[in-house]
Amino acid sequence: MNNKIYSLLGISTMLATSMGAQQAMEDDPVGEEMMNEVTVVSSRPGTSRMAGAMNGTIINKTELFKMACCNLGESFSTNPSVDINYSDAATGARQIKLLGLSGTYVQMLTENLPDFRGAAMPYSLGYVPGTWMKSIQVSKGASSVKNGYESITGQINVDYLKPEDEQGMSINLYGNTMSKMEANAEGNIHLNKQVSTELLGHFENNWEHHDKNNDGWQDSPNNRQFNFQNRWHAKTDHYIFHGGLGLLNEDRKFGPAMNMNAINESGDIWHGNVKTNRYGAYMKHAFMLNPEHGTNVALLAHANMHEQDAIFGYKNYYVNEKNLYASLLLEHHFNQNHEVSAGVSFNHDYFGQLYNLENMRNASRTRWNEKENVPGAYAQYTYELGSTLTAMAGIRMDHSNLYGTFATPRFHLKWQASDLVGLRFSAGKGYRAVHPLAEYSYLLASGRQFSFDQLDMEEAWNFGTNTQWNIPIGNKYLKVNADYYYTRFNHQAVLDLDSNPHAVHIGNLKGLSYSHVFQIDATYPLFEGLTMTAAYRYNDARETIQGKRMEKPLQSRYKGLFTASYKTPLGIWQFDATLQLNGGGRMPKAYTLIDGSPSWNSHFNAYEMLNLQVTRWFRNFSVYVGGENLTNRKQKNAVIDGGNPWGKNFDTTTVYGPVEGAMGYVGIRYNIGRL
Amino acid sequence: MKKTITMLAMMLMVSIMAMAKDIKTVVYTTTPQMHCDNCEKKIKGNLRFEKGVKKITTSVEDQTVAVEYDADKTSPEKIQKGFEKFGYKARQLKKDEKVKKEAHSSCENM
Repeated sequence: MNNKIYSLLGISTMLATSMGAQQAMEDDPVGEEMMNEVTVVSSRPGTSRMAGAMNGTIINKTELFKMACCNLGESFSTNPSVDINYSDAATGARQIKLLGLSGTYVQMLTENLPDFRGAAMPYSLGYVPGTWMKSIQVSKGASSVKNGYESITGQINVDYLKPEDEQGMSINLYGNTMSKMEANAEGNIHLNKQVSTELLGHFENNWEHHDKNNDGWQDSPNNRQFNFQNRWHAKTDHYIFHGGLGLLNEDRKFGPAMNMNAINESGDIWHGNVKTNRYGAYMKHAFMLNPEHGTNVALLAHANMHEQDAIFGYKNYYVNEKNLYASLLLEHHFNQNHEVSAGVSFNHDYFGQLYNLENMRNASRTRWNEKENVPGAYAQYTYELGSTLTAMAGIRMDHSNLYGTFATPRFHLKWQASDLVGLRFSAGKGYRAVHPLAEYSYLLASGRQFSFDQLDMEEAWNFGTNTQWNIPIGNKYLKVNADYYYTRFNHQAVLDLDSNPHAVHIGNLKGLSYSHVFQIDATYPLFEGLTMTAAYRYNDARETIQGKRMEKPLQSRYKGLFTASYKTPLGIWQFDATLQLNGGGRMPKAYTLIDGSPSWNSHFNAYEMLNLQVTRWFRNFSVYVGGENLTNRKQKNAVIDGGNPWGKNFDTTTVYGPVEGAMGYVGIRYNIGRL
Repeated sequence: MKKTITMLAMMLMVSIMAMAKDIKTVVYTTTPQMHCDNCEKKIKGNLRFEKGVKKITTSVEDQTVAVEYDADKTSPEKIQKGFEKFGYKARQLKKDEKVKKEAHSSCENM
């Protein structure tokens, strides 16, 4: 018996260096140097740290496989920095939270172009299928001025599969116990040495109308989505081109359970429906002018049209959103220490909106058209001393026809003191124009009276420090990350659920609003094939509502995360486990029921979330089986008065945790031509 | 008592010896040669499904693929045939034989 253990240890140490070295090169997500200033320095399977001055992690395909993530919204369960929650208990809209603050303060990019803004925001996490993604880069704190002024707490960039990658085709089928099925197909061809193209397809549907918790409300929305993209890549010696087209169609239905007859006095049945059509085209041209100095010019542009028709009983919201964005960037390296980048950009947003916020039959609709043009320019200087020190300072000036001229300064510093310790510091300002209906339309799925003021542009400062440690223990490294971020708002569109429990109001901030976040995480490969991560995050986010400084509602005060992933030596079996402990927090102010008791508790308790998955690889395909929320945690009163959605007590907006219970899933991935 | 323990120990040892696998190593070089880690991934990714293969170590520098296998389940010849299933030809290297890496600039896997 002892012999076996010793030989196992012997093989483990032998394998440690060879497997580790092999996987260090896996899935290097570096794009062209001119598009990304990201280079992978140290890798471990799944996630790697971003080198350069920004504090971020790269989530690659290996990590995405661990969760069989349906879509972007489910790709962060093993990431300690990002929280995913349902925005409400009705529509299925999901939002992320970074640094304890709403996902609206995170700039979303796809292939380094700003995306999913405006009306796309509430549902955007469901617009990117998991199998389409090559990697996700999550960076905390202020980001580079190149991508604009809209990042306040951080930036998430999604990289899709590239047409220039290894040729082949993949098909994925997925089904789960919530009656959802999904089909994905991705294929790419290299037409010749210079041109390649790919086609990405996705279809999903769920069809059941169950009400397992008997709250009178259908447990999960029925959502049918078609999603297609065609992407191109072409290159010559001094020129690279990326371009693509995309279209998406979605039909979401939600409402009271089938057997309820939620008919009001006028004889109307309450329906909830959000129909979306989204079209987009993008192009990126990069010209290498002087290879010796890395001088290059890039032109990036995209055009999006997003049409959404949302109905919540009698309340409705229709928007036709058009967005045009273009930017011209120039980069030049004077020598290996000094680099400068400058550019101009232009953004045009148009919102043609028709809406009715009253719970009234045949109410007339209000028309509201918003148009914003923002030309801007930036300059950024980077000083690099080998891989030891990087200092990056940038400034942007933008002029909006609605909000005037404003400046965005950003500063980043990275100091790799030794092989053991690295230090990062960032400071910067961010701005955001708010579109209350486009971004918060899901709040209409309640009896609360929705109202909003004329809103200023949101403006905030963000400061952060981060230290990274590579501590040698045994033959391997214990990687520890500790960071602290402080976000302070000068102007903010505050969502007020407290002042009136039967209303929701979006108004300009009057007073203090800030967030402190402290996070520490550690990763260690215990033995060959096993990686474990433990993380803890504490956040304190407060805002001022009606003169009173309050803790932000529906936000957990702390989060503990533990993940373990084991892959057998030949990589044929993989076992993944994720355990989250989300702390308690404050609920918005409650009202008193007829019997004198409050409509809900003033605080919610801590809750855990357990996800498990087993994957088995075969020569040409792989099969996976897993479960999410295996302890069956459900927020008890996620839907208030679901059987009476016409009433004023009906509310789906006080959601803090999981709305659906335990879920099991199974899927198969089939590959032709590639691994 | 002593006799029973000794007998049980002997039985345990015999059963362990019977369970102990006969792990052998064989080293190959491939045609086409490996140029980059994508080539290594392709070889590792496909060869691992061959019956009896326990561990695969590749080296682009030395142009070697070292395979640890269970001699009860497979043989070097069977593994050699396994390479052909995904478009590679393998040749067993003699003891201490060195292979020179050809100066190719790219492969279709890159």
